Amino acid sequence: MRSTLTTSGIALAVASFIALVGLSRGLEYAWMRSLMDRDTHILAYSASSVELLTGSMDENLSDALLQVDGVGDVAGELVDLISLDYGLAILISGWQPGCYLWQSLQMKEGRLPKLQEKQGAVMGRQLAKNINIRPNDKITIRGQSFVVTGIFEQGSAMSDGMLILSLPAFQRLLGRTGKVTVFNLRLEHPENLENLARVVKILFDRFPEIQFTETRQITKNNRVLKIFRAMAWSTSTIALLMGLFMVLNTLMMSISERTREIGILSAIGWSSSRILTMIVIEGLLMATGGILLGSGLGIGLLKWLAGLPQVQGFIEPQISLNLILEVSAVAIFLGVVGSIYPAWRAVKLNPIDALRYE
Amino acid sequence: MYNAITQLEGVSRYYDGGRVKALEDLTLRVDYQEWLTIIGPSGSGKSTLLHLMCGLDRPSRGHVFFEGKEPRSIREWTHLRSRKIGFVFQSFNLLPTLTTLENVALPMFGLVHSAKQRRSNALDLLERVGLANRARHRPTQLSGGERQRVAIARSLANSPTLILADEPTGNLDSSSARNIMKLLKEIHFKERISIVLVTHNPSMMNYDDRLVKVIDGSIV
Repeated sequence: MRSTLTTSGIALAVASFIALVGLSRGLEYAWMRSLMDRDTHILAYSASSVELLTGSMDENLSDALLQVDGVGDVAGELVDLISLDYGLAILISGWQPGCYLWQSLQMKEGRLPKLQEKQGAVMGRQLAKNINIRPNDKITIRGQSFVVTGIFEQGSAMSDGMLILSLPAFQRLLGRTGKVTVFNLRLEHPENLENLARVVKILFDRFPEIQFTETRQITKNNRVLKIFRAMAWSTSTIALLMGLFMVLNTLMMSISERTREIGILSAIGWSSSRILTMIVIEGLLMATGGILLGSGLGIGLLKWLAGLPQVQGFIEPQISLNLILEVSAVAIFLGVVGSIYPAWRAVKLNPIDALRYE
Repeated sequence: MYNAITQLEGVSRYYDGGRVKALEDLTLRVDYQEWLTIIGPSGSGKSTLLHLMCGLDRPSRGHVFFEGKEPRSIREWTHLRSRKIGFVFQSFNLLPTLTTLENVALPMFGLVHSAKQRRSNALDLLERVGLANRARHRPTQLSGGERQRVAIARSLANSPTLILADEPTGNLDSSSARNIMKLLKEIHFKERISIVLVTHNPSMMNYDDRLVKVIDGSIV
């Protein structure tokens, strides 16, 4: 019974590790994919902002950025997390009308807004499904009405959970006229890594107040993601350490209860190493049971969490073999470490005392 | 071959920093194929003597030899207990979570690598003690006499040359006790295994046994 409970405890620790780290990686992955979809090579955001979404830059900087040799196109973007009337928080992006970003959208229903449709909007398929919106339906945001002219599907959770408005309309809505959060930069020769490094260096030299990051590096540098990642790791590690103490406690209790049994094994000729191995194997079996049970539970939990409407659009669950192997290695290590001390105690028992133990 | 399977020379065993003297300057030999009965009142040092003979305990003074050699390390004694010495306890000392078959097979771990072979050997041993039909039972489902038979089967698991039996009938009624003694005698005569039997019950002795009486840690 106690071993079953310990195995369940380890399983919960493993499951929480898989779910939390999987969520953290899922968030990174979803964000990175949404940026990669756009054919953006470099993101430019205010160097003084703590977090990408809180940055604010002058929209007119786009002309200066475009002057840099090697930069092919620049698209200013205002991004914010907005709560709809019924409480659902969605990511809204404002794009300069006619910029290259619009061309990256894979329209599934309806069409892109025309240049003169100032209150036009397009919506990701997942979001449209969640809030039951069809092309030509209206959506009200902070008292302003927008017409959803089309539904797009990019295949990445974050993109498909977004609403996209024209930049001027979104600036008006937020009261941030002439401001953008980021600039999307498309390079003329992104495949040439030397050229990429050269362009980034020029950009840094010419615009010290702006932070430039390659799109594929953005998730590594983002502070919010770093905090989220650190939280996921620390929570999971605490859970796993609790698992270690559960193994230790269970085996210590077990050894204490089985003192006589260990004495008998010693009396019939079991060597210390055999007794030690037996106890370590017990620890390993508990860890292995915990891994098997916890992996299934963690994967289920992660899928369930990623399917919640509050999370949809922000996370693409990432369950890799590496993640399972990582947590398995940690759990097995803890199983062995947790059983070594009780095993050592067991082999140190005097067989005569152990045989007399009641 | 040495005549003595085990030999104790000038052995003393003290506890509690020398304040308690369990055995004092004791010399004793047990020959191959011999049956030795050690009698004496409770607390006279009989069990301590058995424990010293199989290395479960170490003498405070003196020497213990097995087959002419003096094992000096725990490892050497463990090796001997696993291959040459069988032990039968008064309280049976079977593992309650295992079946009788598994209990009998327990000493074979590490020596007989095939699980199938271990099962087969254990079943043969249970058959020899008349309990093959109880192979799947747990010790708690057996009578006292049956449990002791299982313990005897276990002591034979690795074909020992010496069986040490510590009050094997102490927890049994007189009928079961007689049966256990008969079984041990059978094993002794048929397989020529040396047996050292400790008892405080004179009715368990035979007149043809070699008898040693221990009182207050000394042979009298």
